[in-house]
Amino acid sequence: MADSVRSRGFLPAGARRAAVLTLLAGAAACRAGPRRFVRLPLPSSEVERLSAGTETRPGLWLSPGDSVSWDVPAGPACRLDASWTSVLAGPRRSLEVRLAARPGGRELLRETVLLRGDPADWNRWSIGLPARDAASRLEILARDPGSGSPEHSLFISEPSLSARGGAPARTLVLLLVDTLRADHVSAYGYGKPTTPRLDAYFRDGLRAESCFPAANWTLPSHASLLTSTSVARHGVGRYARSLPDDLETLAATLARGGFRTLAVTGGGYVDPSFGFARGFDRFAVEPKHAAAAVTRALAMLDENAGEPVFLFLHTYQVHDYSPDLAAARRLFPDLAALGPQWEQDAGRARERMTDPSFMGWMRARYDAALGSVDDAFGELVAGLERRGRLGRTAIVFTSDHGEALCDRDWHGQCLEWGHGSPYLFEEELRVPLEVRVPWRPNARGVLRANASLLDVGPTLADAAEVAAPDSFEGRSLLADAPASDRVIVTEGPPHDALALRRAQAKRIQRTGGSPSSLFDPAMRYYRMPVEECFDLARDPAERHPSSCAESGGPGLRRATDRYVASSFPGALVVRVPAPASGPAPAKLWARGRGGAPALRTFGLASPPTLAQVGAVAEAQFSVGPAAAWVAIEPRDGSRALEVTLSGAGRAVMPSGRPVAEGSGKWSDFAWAGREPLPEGTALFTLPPAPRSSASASPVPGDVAARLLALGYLRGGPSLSGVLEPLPVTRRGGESPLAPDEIRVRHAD
Amino acid sequence: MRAEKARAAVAGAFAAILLAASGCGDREQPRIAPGRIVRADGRPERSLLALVPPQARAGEIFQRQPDGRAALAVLGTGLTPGDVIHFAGRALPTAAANSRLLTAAIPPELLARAGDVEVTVSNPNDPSQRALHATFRILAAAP
Repeated sequence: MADSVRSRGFLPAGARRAAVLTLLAGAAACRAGPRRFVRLPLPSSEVERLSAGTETRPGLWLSPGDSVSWDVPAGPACRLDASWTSVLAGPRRSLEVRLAARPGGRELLRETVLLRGDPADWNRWSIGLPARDAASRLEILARDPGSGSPEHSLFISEPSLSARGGAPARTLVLLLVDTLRADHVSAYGYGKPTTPRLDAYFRDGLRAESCFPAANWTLPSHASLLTSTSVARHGVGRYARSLPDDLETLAATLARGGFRTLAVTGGGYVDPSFGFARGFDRFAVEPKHAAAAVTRALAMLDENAGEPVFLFLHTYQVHDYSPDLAAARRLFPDLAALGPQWEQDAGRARERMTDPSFMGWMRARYDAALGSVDDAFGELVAGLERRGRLGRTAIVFTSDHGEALCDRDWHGQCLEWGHGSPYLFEEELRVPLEVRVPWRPNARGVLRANASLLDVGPTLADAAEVAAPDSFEGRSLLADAPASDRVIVTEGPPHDALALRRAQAKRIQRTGGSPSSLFDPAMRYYRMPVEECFDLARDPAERHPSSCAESGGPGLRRATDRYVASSFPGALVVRVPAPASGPAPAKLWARGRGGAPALRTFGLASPPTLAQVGAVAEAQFSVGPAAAWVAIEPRDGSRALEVTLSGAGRAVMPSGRPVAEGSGKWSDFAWAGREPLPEGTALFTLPPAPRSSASASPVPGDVAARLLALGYLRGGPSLSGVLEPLPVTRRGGESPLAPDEIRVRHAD
Repeated sequence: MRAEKARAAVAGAFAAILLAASGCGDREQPRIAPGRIVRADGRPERSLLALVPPQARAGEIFQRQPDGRAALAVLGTGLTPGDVIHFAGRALPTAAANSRLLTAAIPPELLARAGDVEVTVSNPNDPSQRALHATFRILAAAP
């Protein structure tokens, strides 16, 4: 019989085995079937995020005798799932699950769950719940092992109810290859076949020809990407180190839409300590290569089989110039092209920087590392297919910023190898962005208009058919093409450098200073022109600056003012133009009605001196060669400020009228942003926005070590130009200021 | 076979009812309201919940600090600014981040040998704060 089967076979043995395995996997996927879940939300005031093993999850501590309960609607039998950890070893923990009908309280279930697994890691538990013909109360109680000691507490996470059924679940994948410039991706015209698997998958998708991040290094770029907000809005990398807690994250948006939200990242700046775990049910750090991240992600999908899932998959493999052997051999049959000891990290390779072949080796390693990510992507797609998910999976592939590979000389030297510089040329900014949403077949082809990474959040929300929050600044690329006159801003924080583009016109603004590198405080960037404009249609490589007084220049200059001003909602802002005679000292004192205001600066070539003396905040700074900005934000609940300016010239209001010596109202200085700011020192106010507050907690030791391994400074760059005032207790006497009075004095 | 189909149909209908009622799916749906917490009566305000990490291998410097020491985090409730972490009987300079988190740096020599180490949190300035205890396990060094 076996022979007869073999004789009728039309596939070779290997293919038959593969086909059988595929069928078995497919059958397993079918057995799993679609599964829908509903979260059992935990009270936000009690929710914490806890790291155990290599994952961070949100949840709740329960000590013996504590309980948490929910009112659940009538429904059929389903399953209660959750995970637990106790971090500390101790006696075997157990829970009691009770389900009782309401009102009346007839008990439908009372069962003890003995928790098994490694207490130092996450462990799942589940229990079947009977059908309910009326609204019921579901309660989880931490059982007392006898001693009643709170040391026997446990942490529960991800409680949810689930049932089989519904339409097959959708999967959304955001694949982010850190530090990948677009022009090294084959689909973007690169000469080497670095990305055959990605190219094949996205052949039926949408490719944004020109996509740009909101910032040119990992921390602020991810803060923007994952909240669809500009650096001006969230301030990360400029004035803050972690995500403000008032911004809804993409993960939270998709969780609201019924998706299980999972992340596997390379850590470093993409770590929970910077606020990025917010909205994720599970956030795992996998510092190894992309293949390991894919393996981890597929395991997570298996643990959430059948459920709608959003998966954020991030890898540093290209950032680290760290290829796997297979891709290195595929792209460079003669491995000598990768230079000596290519298996070691790029940091070690820096020891050979003086070798004339060095950058050639680095480019080869960069490409081979991308080839390795492409291999891992192939495994991801195959894994999705084996699980029966691929047909209902949308994938977005992009990067957080590009990478300068000594693309240009500066007086005979390599201008830049790396990213996060104040230069802001295209090699550091242009990133790939490809989208494939099988259930949106019209979203395909090449998008010629400029796209932004701020569009990723709205695009995925659109693909998921979930309403994006108002705070999202980008727009879905699945809808109509973006307007060609749209302005896209990329910032180089904390260097206060900006690149703005509208269609093919680009304007770069820098401070004219020589700031320290993000990677080495002893290394300083070259001093570059304060303003450069380029016509990218004629000069895509940005070799020949055009006049900023022509074509798009003036419009982008006005857009720059609007963008910088948008950083300071609810503040009185002073914009001091660069003095024609060269840098000059200036001073500003500000006092609020009930204490010192906060100060923030932008555009200074060297760090300001900021101080608080009692209820007065003081800024001393040098203006020039670029314009300087100082924002004064009352922190006493009023809109009252008393300001003294010195060295800034006579200030004018947004209307162009000179600021009268003495008192005015907040509204007298209001600037709507539509008309250009007047020449000279401008003083204006902006409407308030929700206040952001970011954690100031230090970076944990293991994250700092990872940052060092990635080549960054331990704990990130020093942030300056911000003064958060200390509260001042007023001793007697009323403030002389009315609640919205602005009193200005010129001390020149 | 027919019975199986019927069971599948019933299960599907039940699932649809559950989904409609509780809001599972790709689209936004009404959700279950946040749960209510009831804390056990008589539970001490001050407690030790977890050590992070709970264990290490002998000689392993976890959460390595710039000075070469390891950083231990103690999670709990009702922790106070004057609390001191004692590791193997030695008082360590302790930072209180908030009422739920203390951190302290451990010198490498205290992590050199395998065994269970007593960790105590106490407030020498306020004896009314009860001492909290936990065990940190140092495993044999990796072969």
